[in-house]
Amino acid sequence: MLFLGGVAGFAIRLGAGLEDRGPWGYYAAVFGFLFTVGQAAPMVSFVPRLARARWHGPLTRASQVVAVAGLLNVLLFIPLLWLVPSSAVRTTVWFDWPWGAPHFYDTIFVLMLVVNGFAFLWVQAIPDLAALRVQSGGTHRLARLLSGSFIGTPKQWKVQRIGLAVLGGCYVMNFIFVQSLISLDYVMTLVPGWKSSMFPAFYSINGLLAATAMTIVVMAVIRRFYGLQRYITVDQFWNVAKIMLALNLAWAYHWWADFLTTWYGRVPRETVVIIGTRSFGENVWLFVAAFFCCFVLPLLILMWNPWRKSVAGPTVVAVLSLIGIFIQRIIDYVPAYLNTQDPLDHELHEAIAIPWPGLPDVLIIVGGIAGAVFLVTWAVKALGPLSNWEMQEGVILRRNEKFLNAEVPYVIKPQ
Amino acid sequence: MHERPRLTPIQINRDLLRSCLETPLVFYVLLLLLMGLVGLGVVAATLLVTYGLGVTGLNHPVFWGFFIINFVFWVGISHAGTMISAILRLSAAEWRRPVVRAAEVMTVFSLMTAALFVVLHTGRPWRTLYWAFPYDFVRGIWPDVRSPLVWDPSAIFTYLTGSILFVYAALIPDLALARDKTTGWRRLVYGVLCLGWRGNARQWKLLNATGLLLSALILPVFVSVHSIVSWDFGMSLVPGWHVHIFAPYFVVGAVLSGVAAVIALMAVMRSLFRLHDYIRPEHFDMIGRLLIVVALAWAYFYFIDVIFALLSKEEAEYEVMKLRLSPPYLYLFLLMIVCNVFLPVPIWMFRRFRRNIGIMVWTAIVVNIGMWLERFLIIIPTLQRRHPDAFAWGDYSASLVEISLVIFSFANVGLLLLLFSKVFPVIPIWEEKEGHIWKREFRIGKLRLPAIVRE
Repeated sequence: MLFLGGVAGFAIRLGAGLEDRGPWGYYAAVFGFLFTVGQAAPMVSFVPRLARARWHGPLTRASQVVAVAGLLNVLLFIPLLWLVPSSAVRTTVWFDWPWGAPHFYDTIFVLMLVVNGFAFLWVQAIPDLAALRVQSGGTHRLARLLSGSFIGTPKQWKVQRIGLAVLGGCYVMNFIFVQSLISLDYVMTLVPGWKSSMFPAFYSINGLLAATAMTIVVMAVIRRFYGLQRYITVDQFWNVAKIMLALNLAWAYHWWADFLTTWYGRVPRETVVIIGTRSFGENVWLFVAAFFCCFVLPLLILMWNPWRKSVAGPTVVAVLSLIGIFIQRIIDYVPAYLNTQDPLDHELHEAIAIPWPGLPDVLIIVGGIAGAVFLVTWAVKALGPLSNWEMQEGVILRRNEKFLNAEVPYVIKPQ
Repeated sequence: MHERPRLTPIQINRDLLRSCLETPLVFYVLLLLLMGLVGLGVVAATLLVTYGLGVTGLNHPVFWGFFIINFVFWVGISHAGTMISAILRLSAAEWRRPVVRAAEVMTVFSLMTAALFVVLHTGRPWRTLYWAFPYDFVRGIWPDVRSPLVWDPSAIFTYLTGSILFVYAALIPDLALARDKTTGWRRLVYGVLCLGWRGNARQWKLLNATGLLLSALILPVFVSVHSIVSWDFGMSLVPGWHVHIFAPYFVVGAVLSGVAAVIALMAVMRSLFRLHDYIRPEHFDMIGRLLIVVALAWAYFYFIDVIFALLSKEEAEYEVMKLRLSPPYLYLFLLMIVCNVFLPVPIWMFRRFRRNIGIMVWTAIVVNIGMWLERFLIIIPTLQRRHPDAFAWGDYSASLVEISLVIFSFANVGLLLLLFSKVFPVIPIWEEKEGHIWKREFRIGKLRLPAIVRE
């Protein structure tokens, strides 16, 4: 229902046409947020696998399943491409490449990332789908279709592992590439607010932070609603929370580097954008909210071991971080869309205040997020909340051993 | 770690204290060579102080040259210690054990050398004190806190202090061991330095807490140091330097050069002190993996810097980048990109090459050549660009004095490391023993697999 409301909001916006960029700011912010969150989360399952950390088993599904929200992202992305300022009198990252740059190529790359995410999720889920196929006596159609002839021979396991490594590696590179490409396309529009060399890096940092935050939120939800307290333990929250804290600090560091360079430089055209519009001045309260949600509160909460080593602490911080990133996306997109000056002017003469969202904007925001939640919920239902084979592998590779007077857990590390 | 051989505590003591208790002939050869090169640097520095900056190739408008390039380069190298020690310690990476001390010590000596170059760059070293420290209380003349001349010393000395504490805290149990294994004046010196260490439970607990605390505290300092160095450039309005992304880009570059330098240092230590059982191919393998990520991150930031300058329709930025990408700088640019990414990264992708120590050392050296060139390309072409409101145009070519001092810097760090290895164990003995104690193997099917106690 909420999603349908979002579609209605989109229809109202579309009715007003694509000529005027101004009203599309919130729509772009929703896309930016969902794209950041949805496409980044699968990386959380790959990076610990790369580092051969064994604690990632229970969180694999929670992080990879978010990739299905990518379907919505592709749909949301297409109208935005027609709102990018014309490239007729400026250079773009495409160097005047013919045949539809950037519209066609950007869409293709976003689609490629989404397909990569789906493939990563599928390859990871094959053993579980095969188990489901066997358990259901072959009556589960989706499991039968997606698990193929997997019966768990050594060769199949080997191929599956190689597939996971290749798809995971490709996904990480693809994600950074696509995030940077899209942000560079925005940078090259020369619209003040996007035109900063920090924009692509800050965009990617937001993505990585969103990935960890979203994984924690999904873990907390499925742990609570599927009663998986014995499987998703504090260990997973604790370990992801450490990475999340590092990313919260990186978020603040990138903002600070951007801000300080501007503040010291005192170049008016930079000051009015980065200080007047994006940090302080007109939109100070939005910035303060993002700053507190993405940096101050996470630091104050996660710096304490008892809170970091809990379920509630990281979950609260994850929710705060997601709120902060959404506000940051509003700061990124809304003023830049409202600026209708000639991009080649390079200059914003006055800071732009971010208006309150109208009814269509609210419908789009709520509908977009609801659509993504719907897709993720459906995928969890279809594939299961946990990766069973990784859980079983974890049991095999974990032993308790007596050491002096204590019993300590050992983690076996195959080469 | 998979390839760790079974060693007794006595064997570990003997092997790792060997560098302190025995002096091979090659040590003296290296010592003489390095002292000769350091002597050359002292002569060059004396000439500089006597005749002033006229003996350098610096001229208007190129007022920063080899000294500042070297300063940035050595600050970059110093990032290895924290990267390896603090981050790997906090993440409990098992493979850190034989690597940490060399990396930490290199941090200290690199920072000292870096600081020396700022002082030399002033031409009149004694005046540095006036610019950097609040000295004149009576007349109320204070250094300008907005000046990099205040930022840099603050950052460097904070990092240096933290790094020395970091090295020293981890040395204490080894100093106690050295005290127990030596006699005479050595015993006395080690006895004083080890602060009465007896190895009781409370002392170990305190040491572990100190290690963790210092690791966590030094990380922000580690990031801030090279950020501040980058802001020496970024806060100016010079086109090509006033780049918002410089801070993270400099930090990543520093980590790349620093970690690569650790590879070279590990190989030298392994060969010089016969530490084959401790520094094994698997360590080079792990550092190689780390370097792939760091090198690609560096390439990412560099790409953004270049693409932004070329496409952002800022005429001055464009001109600077065009100069960097035109002959003769184009050749250096291409060499830098090949050295930093196109040559080493494909090599590091293969496990076979990552485990080949010779190849790893050569790629590490190549990366550091690339990183030195990167600093050169940031500084020299940017200053050489013709400004519309400047009246003198000068090209820059480094003088013999500057070249001698660059050679001196490498020799100086090498000499200090060599002397350190003569006095202190280059691999933390207690950490190595701890690794042996925690080591377990479990049988799964037909395989015996190694395990670690925690993650």
